[in-house]
Amino acid sequence: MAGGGLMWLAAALAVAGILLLRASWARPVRSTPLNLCAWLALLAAAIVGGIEAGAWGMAVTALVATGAAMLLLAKAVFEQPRWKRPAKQSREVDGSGNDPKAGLSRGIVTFLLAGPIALAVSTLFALAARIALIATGASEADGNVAVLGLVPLVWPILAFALLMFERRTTQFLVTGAVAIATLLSVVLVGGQA
Amino acid sequence: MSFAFAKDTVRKGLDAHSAIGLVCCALLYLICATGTAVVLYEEWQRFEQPDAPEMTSIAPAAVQQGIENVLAAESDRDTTTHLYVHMPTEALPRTTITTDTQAFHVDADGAIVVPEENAWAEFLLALHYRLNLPAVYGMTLVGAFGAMIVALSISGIVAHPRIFRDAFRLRARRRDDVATVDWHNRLAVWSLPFALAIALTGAMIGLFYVSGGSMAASAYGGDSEAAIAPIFGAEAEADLTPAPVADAVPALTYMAREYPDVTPYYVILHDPRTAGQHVQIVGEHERRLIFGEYYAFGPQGEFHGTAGMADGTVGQQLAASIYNLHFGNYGGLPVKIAYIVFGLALTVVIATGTFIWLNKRARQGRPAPRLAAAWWGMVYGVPVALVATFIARLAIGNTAPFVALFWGVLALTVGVALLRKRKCGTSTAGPVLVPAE
Repeated sequence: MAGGGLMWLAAALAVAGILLLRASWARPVRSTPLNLCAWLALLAAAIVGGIEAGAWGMAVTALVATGAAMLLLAKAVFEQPRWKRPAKQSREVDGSGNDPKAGLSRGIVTFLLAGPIALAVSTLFALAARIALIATGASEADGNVAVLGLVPLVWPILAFALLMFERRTTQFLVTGAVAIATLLSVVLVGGQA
Repeated sequence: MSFAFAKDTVRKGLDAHSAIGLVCCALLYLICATGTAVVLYEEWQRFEQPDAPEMTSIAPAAVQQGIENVLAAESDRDTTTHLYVHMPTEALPRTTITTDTQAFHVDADGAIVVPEENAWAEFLLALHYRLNLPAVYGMTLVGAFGAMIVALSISGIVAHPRIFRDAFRLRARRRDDVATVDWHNRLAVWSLPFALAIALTGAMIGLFYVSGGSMAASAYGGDSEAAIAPIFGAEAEADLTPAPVADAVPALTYMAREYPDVTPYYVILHDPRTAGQHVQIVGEHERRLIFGEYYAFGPQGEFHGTAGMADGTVGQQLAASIYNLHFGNYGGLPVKIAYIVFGLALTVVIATGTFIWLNKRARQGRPAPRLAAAWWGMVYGVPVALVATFIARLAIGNTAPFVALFWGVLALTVGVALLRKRKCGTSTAGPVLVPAE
C-alpha cells in the first residue's frame, strides 16, 4: 500500500474495528461498550484516512476493513460443524385462488411503475434539484453533476418505496405527487442555468 | 439499544427484494462476472500481445516522432480528428498511438512497431459496459442494473433483520440450503460498501444517456457536450485551415518542469494538422481518486490552463473520481486484487439469491425445475463462455468472432442444462438444486 504513516494507522484502526465487532457480536449478549469501541475505531480509520489522503485514503481504508471482514468470514467457514437439516415434507400450495392472468397484468403494471415511470420521475427530481442548487448559488458544474448523481440514487430508492406499498392507489399517489412537485419547479423556474 | 423493522415491513421488504432480484438476476450476474474480469483490463492486454514493445518511460521527442510517424502512415486517408498517445504506465508500460481508425504500438524512439491487437480485452470491456449492444441502449441497460443493485442493497437490509447480528456466522459446511442463505447474506453484508460504491458509480456512467440527455434537453437545447462542458471543460473552436502538426515536446517539457509530481499518461491531439489544433495532456495525481487532470496547451506548447478535475468544484472532483472508483485502478495491484475478490463475492451473492428463491419455492411445494436448470446453465455458462472466447483469442487470433461465440456458448450451456433436466424428468418431489451440495 502506497502511503505515509497515517495510512498505516488508518488501516490498523480499520482492522481493529472489524476485530472488535467480531468479538462483540460473538458474545451471547452484545456488549454496548465493545460495539461503541468498534464503530469508533472504524470512524477514526475513515477520518485518519481522509486526513492523510482525502477520498483516496477513505476508499483504501474501506477496502482494508472489508478485506479484514472477508478474512474473518473465511475463518468462520471452518468453525461451523457439518450438518444437514432433516428433510421436510414440502407444503402443497392450493393455487386455485390465483388467477395467472391477473397476476401477470399486476406484475407488468408494477414493473412499469417501479421501472421506467420511477426513472422518469427521478430524472425530473434531479433536474429540479439542479435548478434549486444553481438558484441557491451552486456552480453550474456542481448542479450538473448533481443531476448525474441523483438519478441513479433516487430511482432505486423510489422504486423500492413503491414496491413496499401494497395498494396500487398509494403507488400512483406517491409517484404522481413527486412527479407533479418536481415538474412544477422545472416548468415554472425553467431549465436555464 | 436495538433497532428493528416491523414484521410486516420485513415481509414487504423481502417481497420487494425478491421481485427486483428475479427481474434483474441474469443480466446482473453477467455484468458482475464480466466486471470482475475486466478489473484486469490492462493485464489482459499485455497477455494478448506479449511481443509489443514495453518501456517504463518515453522521451518527449520520441512521443512527437511517434505522432508524426502515425500521421504519415495515414497520409492516404482523411486526417484523424483526434489522436491519443497512451504513455507508459505501471499497469500498461507501453506507448500506443490511437487515431479515429486504428492503433499502433511504438518503441522508445517513436518508431511504429506493430498494430495494437487487444480485441479480447476490448470485447470484455464492451460486454461489461454495454452488453455488446449499441452504446445508447447497452449502457443505459447496464446503468439501470447498477441502480437496481442499490435497490437490492436497501431492500436486502430491510428484508433481513438479523443481517448485521449474524454478520460473522457462515454455516458453509452444512449440506442444505442454509449454507446457500448464509453465503448470500454474509457476502452481501460485507461487500455492501463496495457494492454501493461500484453500483452508484456504474449507474452514473451507464445512465448518462438518460440523466445527461435530459439535462441537455431541458437546459442546453439538446446539446449533450454543452451539458458536460462545465464539468470536464469545453472543446475549443475548430479551425480546419491546414497547418503543420502541433508540437507535443514543449507541452511535455512544461509538465515535467511545472508539475513534477504529476505523471502524464495521455497526450491528446485535437484536430491535428489544422489551425485550430491543440494539445491536451491527462496527468495522473498520486493518491487521488480522480482519473487525472486535463492540462491544455496550444499547438506550440503554450499553456492554457487546467479543466479543474483536481482542484475545481466538488462536483468536478466527484465526477472525475467515478471511473477509478468503479474500475479499481487507483492503488495498483493490491486494490485490483481487492476489487476482484469483492467482485467475485458480489457475483456469488447474485447467483445464490436466485437459488434461495428457487429453494423456497420448492419448500412451499411449488418447485420450478426448468427455471432452476436454466439458472444453473446461466451460472456455469457465463464463465464457460468467457473461457471459450479467450481460447478462441489464443487459437484464432485478434479477429475471432468473440461476440457470436460468447452468446452462442452461453445459449448452448443454458439449453444443455434445460435438456438434461428434461431427460432426468420433472418430478416435483426431486431433490432441490443447492450449490452447497
